[in-house]
Amino acid sequence: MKHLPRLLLLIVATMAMTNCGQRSDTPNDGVKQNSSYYWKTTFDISPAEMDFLESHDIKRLYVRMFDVAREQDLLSGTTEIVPIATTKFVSAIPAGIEIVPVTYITIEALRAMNGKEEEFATLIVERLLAMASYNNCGTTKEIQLDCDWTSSTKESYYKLCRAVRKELASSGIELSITIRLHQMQETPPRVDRGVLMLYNTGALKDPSTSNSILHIADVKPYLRPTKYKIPLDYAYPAFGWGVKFDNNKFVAIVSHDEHTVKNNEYIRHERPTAAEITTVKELVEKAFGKPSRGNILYHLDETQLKNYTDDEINQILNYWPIHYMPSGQCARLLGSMVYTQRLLHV
Amino acid sequence: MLACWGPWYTPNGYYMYRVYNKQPEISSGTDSTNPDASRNCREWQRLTSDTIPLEDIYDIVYTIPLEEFEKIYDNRDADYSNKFIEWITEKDSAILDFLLLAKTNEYIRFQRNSRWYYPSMRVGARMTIEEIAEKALSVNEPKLRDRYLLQAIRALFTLGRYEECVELWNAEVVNLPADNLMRKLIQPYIAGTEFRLNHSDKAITYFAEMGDIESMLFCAGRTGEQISTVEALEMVCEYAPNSTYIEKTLQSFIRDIEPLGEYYWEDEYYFSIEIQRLYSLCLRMAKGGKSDNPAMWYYTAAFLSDFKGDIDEASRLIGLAEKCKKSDFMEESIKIFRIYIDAKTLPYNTSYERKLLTQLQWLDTMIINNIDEKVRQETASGYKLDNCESYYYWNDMLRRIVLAEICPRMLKAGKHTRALQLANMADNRLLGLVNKREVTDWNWTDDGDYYETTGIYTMSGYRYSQSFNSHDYSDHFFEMVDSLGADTAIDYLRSVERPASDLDRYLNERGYTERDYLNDIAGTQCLRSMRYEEAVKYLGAVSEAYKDHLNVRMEYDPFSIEPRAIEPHGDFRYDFACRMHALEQNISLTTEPNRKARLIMEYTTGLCNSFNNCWELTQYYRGCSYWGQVCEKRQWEVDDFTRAAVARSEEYFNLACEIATDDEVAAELNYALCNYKTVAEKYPNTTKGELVRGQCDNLCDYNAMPINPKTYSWQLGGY
Repeated sequence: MKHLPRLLLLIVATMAMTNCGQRSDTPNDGVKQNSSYYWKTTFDISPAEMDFLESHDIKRLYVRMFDVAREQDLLSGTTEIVPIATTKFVSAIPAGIEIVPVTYITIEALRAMNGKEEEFATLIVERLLAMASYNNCGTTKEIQLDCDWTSSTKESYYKLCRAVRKELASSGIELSITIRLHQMQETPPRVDRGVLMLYNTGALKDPSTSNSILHIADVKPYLRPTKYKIPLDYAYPAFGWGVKFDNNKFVAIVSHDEHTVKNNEYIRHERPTAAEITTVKELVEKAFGKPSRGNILYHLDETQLKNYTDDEINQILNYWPIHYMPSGQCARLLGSMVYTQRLLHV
Repeated sequence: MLACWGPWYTPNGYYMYRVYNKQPEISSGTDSTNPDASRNCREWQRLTSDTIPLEDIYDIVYTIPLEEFEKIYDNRDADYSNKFIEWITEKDSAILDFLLLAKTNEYIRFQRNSRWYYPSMRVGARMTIEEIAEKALSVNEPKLRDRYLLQAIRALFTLGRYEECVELWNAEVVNLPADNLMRKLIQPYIAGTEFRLNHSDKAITYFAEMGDIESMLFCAGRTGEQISTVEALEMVCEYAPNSTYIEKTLQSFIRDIEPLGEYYWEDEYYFSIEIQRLYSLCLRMAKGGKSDNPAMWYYTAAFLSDFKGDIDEASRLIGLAEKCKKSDFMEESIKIFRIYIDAKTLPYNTSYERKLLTQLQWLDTMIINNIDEKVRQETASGYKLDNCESYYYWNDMLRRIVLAEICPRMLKAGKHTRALQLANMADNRLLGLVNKREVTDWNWTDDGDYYETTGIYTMSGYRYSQSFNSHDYSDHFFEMVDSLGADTAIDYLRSVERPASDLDRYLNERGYTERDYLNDIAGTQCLRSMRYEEAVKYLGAVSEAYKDHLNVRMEYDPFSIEPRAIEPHGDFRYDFACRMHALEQNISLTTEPNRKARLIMEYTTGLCNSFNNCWELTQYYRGCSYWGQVCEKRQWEVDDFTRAAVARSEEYFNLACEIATDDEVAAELNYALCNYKTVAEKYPNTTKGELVRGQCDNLCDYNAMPINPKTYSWQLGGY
């Protein structure tokens, strides 16, 4: 026991010298950051959400700006690809938070874009940057595309990504994309980075699904150790909902608090536990490695987040296991150890 | 052979209702779907030069994009084929500057209207929308001030600076004349502005003034509601009782139901409800004091009352309309309706005829004073006039009232001559004034292709030309005179030659009373009435020059039992009349029975043929495509004239058969009757007997036709 303080000190010193034992190969080397999605049509951060950002050291928000969808023009009757559900900014962007503008592209819109990817790449980029600039989102370092592309739409999506990246080239803004588990089997498009979505992993409308948000059994088949071609971060769920069925037929997504049902109806209440999430997290990191920049919560919503304790959120977000901490944390821990050592000496 | 063709419409199909005093904008060379564009181009023409074609202006103002205009703006010294560009680059750079601003404004607004647009997006124009608003308000160019105001308000509206839009409207735009085009184009923005400022009532009022029903419903929170035309009118009347939309819509609504008052049965219920609703609205608006034009509402109510068959109420209401203060335009419409109502309600006596003369004199003055080139052209081409299509209101009304109302009542009252005089004026007054007729002929080349040639005649030249006369033998006057019998035709001819009253003279002077035309008709009527002596008199009065212009020609010998082609010639009616008259005289003077029988047979053959295969002797046309419009539809085979002719021919044939004593004559008569068996058995040695015996091999040949002396003569010459 008398060698314990020396041993701890040695470990800490070694960690400090080796930058906590991690060698990053990402462009933003060293920027290990907690992040969260903000996925609402109105950007209006509550005080509780502000506290949440602060207490969990979240410095980056992936904010959905608009969806790209196909809609019929009421006047001309023609179908066109347009931005819909544009986010309205009510509250100011919190200081010190980096905003990553995100757009969700529906699969119908992607199909319709075929052959016109460059035209829409320009529109998407211009609109995302205009929204970011108009709403004082600070310097934009990255934009993100979110799309549930499949092998049949892959080519068009890749062209779109290429065109978007070309648009961004002169500004030095990076392009990231979301990646669903099934897309891990495909070569990714040429983008700067990706966010692996570890939610909505199950079949929502299937009555036999036990938890469509996150279920380990749904994730496992995809977790073959792979060196993915682009740096990945991981997004974990921190939300729940109810899935209503009538005679085993999907009816609607309802609030997790909804319990009223009519005859033949039932609600499947889903909310992954922190334990489930951290289990998935361990499996994912084992298969694909540590996240390149950090973990991401889906999403910043106090009504959802209150269902998780601070510790649980920390466990989800923590880049470092308890024995690996970044330098600042190392210092704090070191101080705490010196204090412990002193105590021990005493 | 069909000599004439009939109109597609009847005279009561003319549009009478008239409250909207606006001529459609001429859209030559511009956008026919956008009347404002046509007007705008003409205003640009006024600001620049009358020598600049509207097409050139339209091309620059509406067609070329900003990018192209910027190139022109930057290269003013270049040569341009467009006259408008040439003018504004060389002589009026103020317009060039204005157009650059306006096009930039539209470009930015278009970009901003894109669903992809988000504030702060780049739009690639030389100015920002804020700069446009500022510049539009600062340019000191009086002649373009209203245009700059429009651009300023457009820009300010786009920027959401609604209060400034309203300020500009109140300070400047309301001072522009009410019919100023820019004011008209600005008003929708002000309506939209008021709505955004939560002044919905004001917005609705502006939209009501413009007749923008959809926007009114939107402002009233009733988006997507389907409302009927009358409901829309009610709504507009509530907010803007003097909007021009009202008269425009009333006219279009009533014109939809006006022609003939006929519609498909499924529409009937809808219209009856709508008409009742509109009728109530008319009375409310007429009495309510909100409208500046109560006369229009009484007039409309009167019109609807007549439409519903309540003539007395119509008469009362038009009386109220007459008492209201009104525009000259409305006064004229009301006057027309008064003439119409009088024609329907007043007794046809001397007093009415005096009133009618005054009314016709006024109407005739309107016809004379309002003729324009378009009317002249349409009249000369003849198609619309001959087919009773609305194209010249004053002449249409003369025709509608006279032909559809007065003439039938006159005929019913036995005043045939007056009806003919009136119909003649209605048919021929405008033609006489225009005195021009276009005739298109199709000519065939040796290769079998055809080409058109168009000749232009005076009316007299046309009537005496070789061209087919599509007017005089198919108009309403002709229809009447041709169907009312010889006495009426002769009476009318006398009234033309010896007018007895001012009205006679007035009407005769405005009809087509050329004696050749009228004598030929009277003579032909005499032939149809078997009055051959009189026929000789009237047909003999037709000049040599006219004898080839009857539109029909005779191709068979009228005195041949079997059809025998002859060389057509012009005087066929006169020749026939002379010969029939001579036969009548000879029959009465001849006493020897066989001679007399032969004369009777020739006379009867001519008589029968003149109603059958030589019908051109007694008719100007045959067939059923000629619509009865004023008179009943003709039934040629069974009319009184034909029945009389049948009866006389039967009587004469029987007489001939009775008096003939010579076998040859008897055989010929029986041969004509197709009694071949009788000819073969009783007169075997006559010429006809030998013919029958030598050529008829079968028993049936001896009974070729069932013999019925009552009808056989009618079969002569038939095939």
